[in-house]
Order: sequence, then structure tokens, then C-alpha cells
Amino acid sequence: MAKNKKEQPKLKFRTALFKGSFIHNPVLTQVIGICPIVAAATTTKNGIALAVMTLLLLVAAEMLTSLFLKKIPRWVRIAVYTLSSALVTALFEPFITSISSNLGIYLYLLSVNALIVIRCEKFACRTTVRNSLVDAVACSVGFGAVSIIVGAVREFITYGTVFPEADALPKITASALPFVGLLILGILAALHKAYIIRFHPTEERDTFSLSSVEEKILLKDPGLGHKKKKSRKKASDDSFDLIRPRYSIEDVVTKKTEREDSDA
Amino acid sequence: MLKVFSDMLITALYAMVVQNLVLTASYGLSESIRTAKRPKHFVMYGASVTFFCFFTSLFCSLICRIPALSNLPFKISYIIFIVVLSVLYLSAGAFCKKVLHADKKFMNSLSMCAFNTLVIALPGINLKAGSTVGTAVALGFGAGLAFVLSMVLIRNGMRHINKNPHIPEFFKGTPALFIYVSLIALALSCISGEALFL
Repeated sequence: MAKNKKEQPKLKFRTALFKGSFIHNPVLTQVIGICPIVAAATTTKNGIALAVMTLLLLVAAEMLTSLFLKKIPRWVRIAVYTLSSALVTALFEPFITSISSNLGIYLYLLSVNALIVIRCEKFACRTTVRNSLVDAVACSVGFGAVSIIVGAVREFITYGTVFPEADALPKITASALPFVGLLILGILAALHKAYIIRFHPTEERDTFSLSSVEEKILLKDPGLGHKKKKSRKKASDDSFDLIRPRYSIEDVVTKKTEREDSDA
Repeated sequence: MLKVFSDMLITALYAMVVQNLVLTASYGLSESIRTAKRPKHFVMYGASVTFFCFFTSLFCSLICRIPALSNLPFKISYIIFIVVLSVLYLSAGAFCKKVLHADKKFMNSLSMCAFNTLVIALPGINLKAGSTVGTAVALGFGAGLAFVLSMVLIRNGMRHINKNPHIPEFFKGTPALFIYVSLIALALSCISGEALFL
């Protein structure tokens, strides 16, 4: 155990970036932190502002957790880095409003974004500062990419351009409503899933779909499906397991350490 | 007195049904979607989110009445709201741990219920709308019920989506769920009278 703590294997930046931001995209596969994207990413500028702020917050929170908060009880720790995230938000608020001034209350709500809480708890408090930094960048890139795409598509629907002139009048106001954001997220998630099934079939894991075997059992015999669900629930003893893909960045670390242990 | 109660009731119902804060403004939407997968935890999550919504809204509304704090810039007020929520959460957590001997799993869930966008958005909404204490309390209660309602609606849709064999392979799971939630959000937006076109 002591050995594991001392010799945390390093995450490869390129692999972590690809897996953390694209393969296991926090928004499209795990449904984490969709509130600001759905409600505030109504223009490309808003999307960029959300992406930059998320990067700053996630890097700050994961570094803080990895450096100082590992020994504090989990339920206390969450309050500490939420407070620190609020301070970071207030600090960088003038910079972010210079990118986009119409994020409103959603800029401040980013400090309690589920993405920050989950990544700090699932990853940063268990690994080194370097790995936390890599994970923070990877997750922020994934979140930011989705945020910018959603913003650009909505702006195109509203104004007909991606970067409209300041005095441009909206043609369709509905695109600023959350349901359009969710619709675009649904289509993006489907495209993402199609790509993963086509090119990386072993990585295909969806938080909200049953596997084909489970699906058959559940459709044919509800009783069996119920049993299967129960046994799966017994295996997980963590409330955060629900949003965790079966192969994520942290698995790269833990599996490698387990392998080294068994070799020894 | 009766008018105050009727106003509070109307505000709570409005926040719950007509302008459901979770589905039409997407506050706490990701928590709601993820919790919908675990129907056994509905009571615990629903009660905890309602508790935090109610008391955060109440305490922050009372703090905004203090003359020295009423004219602060929004970012300072927001930090105060986060401090209030953190104190409330730590007090509730300490009570559950020491008195009720809550297990680790419960404590983890409690943190997810306290620190979500729905709970911390309420003081901001009250501040910007200039709500009275009564309205703020009703909004807090209504927001908690809105969270429960959205969980139930999403859970119901999730069950049907997983059983439907006609959904194309690429749309199964999360994509179908996103589209289902967007349709409920559209329905509620129409009820609340949002203009779709100019």
C-alpha cells in the first residue's frame, strides 16, 4: 500500500488528453456538469468563456485537492474546494466578462459544477499533482470543446453566423432556451457514440444504456433483469460509481499499480 | 395573512410546475438525470435537496436584509452565499454523522445534494428579483419539489427508452435521454409562456 502511494505511475499526456477529453467525454458520456452548457452556451463567445473558466477552476481545484486536502475527510473537503472555487471565480470574473459579458449567474454557478466535485473526488485526492494537472486539462478540454460546439451551433441557428456583428438581431429566439441545448447535446452524443462504436468498440461504455446482454435479459425476463441489477449494485460501494465509466483515466493508474504489485 | 400564504403557495407551485427550475432553467439538471437512475434513493435525494434549497434560500434572504450587506457587488454576495451554504452543509453533515451515525455512502450523497447549481442559484435569483423572505422560502421549497418532479419524469422516460427496441443503435442510452429531457423542457417552456420565435 505504501509502495502504491510512493510510486504513482505517470499519466501520458497525449493518452490522457485523448481518453479524458474525447473517448470518455465528461458531458457526452457521463452527463457531468451540463447545466452551464445547456443554459449559458448560447453563443460561441459564451462557449469560449465557459471553457476558459472551467479550465481555470478545474486546474485550481484539482491542484489544491492533490496538494493539501488528501487527509481531510471527504465530506469536509468538498466544502473547502467549493469555497476556493468561488474565490477563483470572483478573482477571474473581470477577465471572463471581457470575453463574454452575458453569462449572468451561470458564471458563478460554475464553481459548484459537478465536474469539479467529481474529478476532485474520483481522481485528484488519490493521485499526484502532475497526474491531477493532466486530468484537469483533459477534462476541461472535453468540457470546453462541447461547450464551444453547442454555442456555435446555437448562434448559427439564432443569427445565421458563428461570430455575428454586435448589432445583429436574432431570427429565432428559441435557440437560447435550454431544450435546444439538450437537443444539440443529444445529437452530439449520438455522433460521438457512432464514432466510438465504429473506431474504438472496446471503449464503448454508456452511463445510461444497458449492455446488449442485460437488455435481452430485462426485455425477456424482468425478474432476471432485476437480479442482475441487484448484483451489480452490490459490487459498487460508492455513490460516485454511477457516473464513472468502466475504463477511465484513474483505471490506467490503478490497473498499472495492481499489475506491478502482482509482478512483485 | 391568508394572502401571504396564498402568494407563497403560488410561488412554490410556479417554481415546481410552470417554470420548473430544473427543466426550464437547467439548474441541477445533471444531478437530477444521474439520480433518476437510482429510484431507491429518490426519497433521500429529494428530501436533502429540498432541505438545502429551503434553508439556503431562507438564510441568504435574511442576510440580504442586513443593511451593510445589501448593497454589495454580486460577486461578493455570491461568496457570502457559498459560505452560508458551506456552514449549513457542514452543520447538517456533523449532525448526521455524530447524532444519526450516518454511513460514508450517505455522507457522499449529502455533499452532492448540497453543492449543486440548483441550491446555490436560488439566493442569486432572490437577490436579482428582490424577493421578500416569504417568497424566497416558497421558492426554495418549490425548487426542491421541482427537483423531485424532474427526477420522476426523467426516470419514467429512462425506463421507456431502455425498453424501446425501435431506437437506433447510436441513439440508445445517453443520446436518447438527452432528447427525451429536451422534449420535456420544451413542453414546460411552452407552459411557462416562453416565446419561441420573434
